[in-house]
Amino acid sequence: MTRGAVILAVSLGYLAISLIVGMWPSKKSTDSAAGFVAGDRGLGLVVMYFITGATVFSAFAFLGGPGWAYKKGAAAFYILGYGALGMVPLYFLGPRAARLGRRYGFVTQAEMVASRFGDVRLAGVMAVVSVAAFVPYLALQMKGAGYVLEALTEGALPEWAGALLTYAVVLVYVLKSGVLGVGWTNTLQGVFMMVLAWGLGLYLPTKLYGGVGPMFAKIAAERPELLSAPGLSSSGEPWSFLAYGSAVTVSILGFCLWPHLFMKSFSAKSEDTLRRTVVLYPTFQIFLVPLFFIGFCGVFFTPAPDQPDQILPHMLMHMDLPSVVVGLFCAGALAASMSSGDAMVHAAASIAVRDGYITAGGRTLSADAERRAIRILVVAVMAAGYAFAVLYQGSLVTLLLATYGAVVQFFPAVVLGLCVRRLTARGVLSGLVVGTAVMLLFTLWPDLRPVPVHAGLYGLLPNLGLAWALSPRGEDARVAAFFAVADGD
Amino acid sequence: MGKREVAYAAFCGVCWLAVVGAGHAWFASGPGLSWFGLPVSLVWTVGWVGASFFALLAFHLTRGRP
Repeated sequence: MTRGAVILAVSLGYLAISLIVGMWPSKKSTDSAAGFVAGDRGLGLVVMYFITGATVFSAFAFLGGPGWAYKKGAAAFYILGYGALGMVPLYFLGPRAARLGRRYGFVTQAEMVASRFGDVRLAGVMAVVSVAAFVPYLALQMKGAGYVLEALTEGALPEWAGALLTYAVVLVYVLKSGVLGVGWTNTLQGVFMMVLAWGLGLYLPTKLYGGVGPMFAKIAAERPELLSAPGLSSSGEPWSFLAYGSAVTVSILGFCLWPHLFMKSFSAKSEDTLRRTVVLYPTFQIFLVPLFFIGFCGVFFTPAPDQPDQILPHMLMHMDLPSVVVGLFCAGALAASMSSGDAMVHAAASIAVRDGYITAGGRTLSADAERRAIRILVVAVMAAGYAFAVLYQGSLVTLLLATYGAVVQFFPAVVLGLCVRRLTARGVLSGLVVGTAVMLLFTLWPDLRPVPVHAGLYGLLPNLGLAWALSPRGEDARVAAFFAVADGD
Repeated sequence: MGKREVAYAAFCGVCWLAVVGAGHAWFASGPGLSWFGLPVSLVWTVGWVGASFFALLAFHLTRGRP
């Protein structure tokens, strides 16, 4: 067999295993929406740990992380910075949401928010913003899978075909098994990625420089600007701490507000399972460190890749490595892409149906019809993500940062909505609409920003201000009953 | 919020300031190398992840105490 054929065979083998693991739990949940979307609220610690960890440890981490370390140096460490605290709000909010979910039957965060504020329009706006943010994030995962397969098969499988093949597998197991398929494949993929990240992260510096220490010593001597925090910007100039700090802040605030993560509050078997998942989560972040090593390995590598995000597959293809090792890396990158993409497409479809059609649209559907509608939307969301992936040519991490700006606008509705009784629908809805519009303005025209702070923070300021200013003091019986359930009274 | 929650929230705030504020002066001094030959900026950030992990672990294990 040729080198390309071996690599392709290993990758296809991995896709086949993922498909089997993803199909296996299809009979383990009920036919209800709670079964398909929330796994009948019965996920244990192991699956919860991997479903949250592997969902975040995505194509963005596997390709964008090394790409940033290679091109922008210490700027990549912002990913570790926000990951450390990003899940903490869920430690406090998750159990409250879980109690409300059990009492009222919520399986999405917008359903909960609409009930909290007594206004279904909130669910509609949140559904639109969520799906709009999910499509580019999903596209990012597809691009990652396509990049890797194209690079490692030396163009035999073009980017569009690689993305299509990988996500055809995801489509099958998400349609068949819902969140349980996502959970069990993420467990497989999480373990696989961890082993591979550390293996390659230690092997490549040793092979190219004689070790991790000698590699950094060379970079410190010849490219010191890469190791001085906060690293470099896209233009190659030193990144400002204001921009670095605001990227960390927006990502911390927006992290657990991503609907596919927050919705897992409704999936956990118990409140303690949820808390333990959050406590253990930073251990998953440490697996990003070897991926940064890989990126730094590429600093002196010749020839240079066409795009920074391709540094890892590019190095593997230009080094004298066994084909099976390269094939395993390829499978690992596919795992990273799939483990995030599957959760996103599942969440986006569930949100579009539950929040957009049923809650905001005021429609009712039977359990069968609801499950069927979610499946149709799974196909539609995946098609939209695929179209975006084929057309978008920019950086993976830059795209991710832009989508965080949209999701962080949920902060007043979700975080404050679960803790502050004073907020009302008028204030939160006005804040959400204005905040999203401001964020979009500064994302599309970044030169308009007075100071180089993340566009999401510019949106969050008027969002918070309006939410507070348009919420008069006072509390009605409905809000009191809602908080009584959340508090566990 | 109880005293433990306030203390934990304050710790997270201090961590954040340490990374984006106080860390600035140290980082700005140059691309120094630290333990195991790793860059100071990486050791500092990983240290932050570790501190955050142990702080939440301690908070979790002492749940129910005043």
